Amino acid sequence: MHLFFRSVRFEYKITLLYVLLGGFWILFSDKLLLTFVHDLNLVSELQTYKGWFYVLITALFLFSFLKSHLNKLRDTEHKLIVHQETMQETIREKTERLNIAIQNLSDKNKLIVAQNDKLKRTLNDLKQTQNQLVQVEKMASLGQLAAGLSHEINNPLNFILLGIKGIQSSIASLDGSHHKCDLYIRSVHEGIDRISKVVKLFNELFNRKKDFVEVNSISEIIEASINELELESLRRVVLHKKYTSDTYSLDCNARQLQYVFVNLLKNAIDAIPGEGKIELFTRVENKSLLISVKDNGVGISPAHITRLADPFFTTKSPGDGVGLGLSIVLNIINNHEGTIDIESKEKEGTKVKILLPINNK
Amino acid sequence: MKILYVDDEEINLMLFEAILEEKYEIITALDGDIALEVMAKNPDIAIVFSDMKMPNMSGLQFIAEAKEKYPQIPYYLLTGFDISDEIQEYINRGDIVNCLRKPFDMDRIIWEIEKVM
Repeated sequence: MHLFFRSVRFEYKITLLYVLLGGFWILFSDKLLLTFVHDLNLVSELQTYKGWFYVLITALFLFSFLKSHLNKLRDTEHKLIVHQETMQETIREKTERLNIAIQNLSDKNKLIVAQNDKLKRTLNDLKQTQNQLVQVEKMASLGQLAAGLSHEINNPLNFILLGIKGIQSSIASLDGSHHKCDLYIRSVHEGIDRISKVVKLFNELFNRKKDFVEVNSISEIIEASINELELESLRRVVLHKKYTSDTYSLDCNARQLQYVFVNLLKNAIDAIPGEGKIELFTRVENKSLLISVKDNGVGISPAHITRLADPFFTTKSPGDGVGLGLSIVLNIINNHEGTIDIESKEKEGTKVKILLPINNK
Repeated sequence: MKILYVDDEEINLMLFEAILEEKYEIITALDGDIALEVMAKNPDIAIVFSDMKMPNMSGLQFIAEAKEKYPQIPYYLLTGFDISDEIQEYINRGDIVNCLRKPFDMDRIIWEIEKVM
């Protein structure tokens, strides 16, 4: 019953109550009044008060019912609003926290990307260092090999040279003509000469000696290199020189650098078939000294330019060069921690640029 | 005039002697120890040529020891290797007159001998 009453909706409850109260009042109030009062005029007057009383009571009931019900509704509404606000607040907070979490994640992501980059760079550096180490190691063992080989070749060459010298003087003491012997002896000498030259060059190729001396100008080394050139070639090729007037100093091995310049100048001269010119200049650039040698010779074909530094690569005829010159030049420039750049156009000429590090002032 | 030639290669010694024996008195030694003994017996040696790479004692070690005992004699080093920094130091100090690379030209040797004479 109680449950039934609770489950009935408010509008039914209040109507039912109103009907019941009204019904009971109509049924019993007059009977009750008539048992106590017999005067009809008085009854009529009291009925008016009774009517007012009924209105007052039902109004009170209705007021209290409505009030309690509306209060409940208002309370619920308020709770709802509060709840909604709390929800909104919670959502905002959660969104904020989510944003922070996203930001953190993105920061961490950035950090990971940066660390990854750093790792990649470190790995690259490591690989490079490893390559350099391997290269140094390779050069060192090749240098040892070259030195050992040159010793083992030079000693027998010495026997040959001394032997042929003995034969030569023995023949000289004999009577008669020995013009064919002269040819044979010359050939042996030429052979010994070539072998000993190539052995010397081969040794030079792996020379990593760093007996450097500080110099204040490279022009003297270049001048000494020019003095080594054949006069004949300087007659047909004009050499324009321009040395920088800037002051600088660099640590170098003058003998090795002289080898470099002699080689480059000889190559330039050999590239010029008839008359031509070579332009040579030095310039201080940042922390380097630039030495540029440019000729207007036949140039180098694209097929050959990539092979320039290959040991024993040459386009010269036998006896004119074995193809170690530029390999040695490259080794010397590497030894000086410098760089070399060769640009060439066929029929226009070749430009060689060497950069050598100079000392900080 | 006595010339001492030190080399562990016997053929070199034989050829050196054969070529020069008509002009000079050639004494040869197969290593530094023998050379020092020879020098003790022959105080009149005028010039010394020594190979660089030899067993027991290198050419430089031999020359250093000999130079201390006989400082007036000119010493020449012969080498099949490159002229190293150490050799260059000896030349700069004057302990070695010159270092000749192998294969050496006999005319150059004769020229050096005649310079000393």
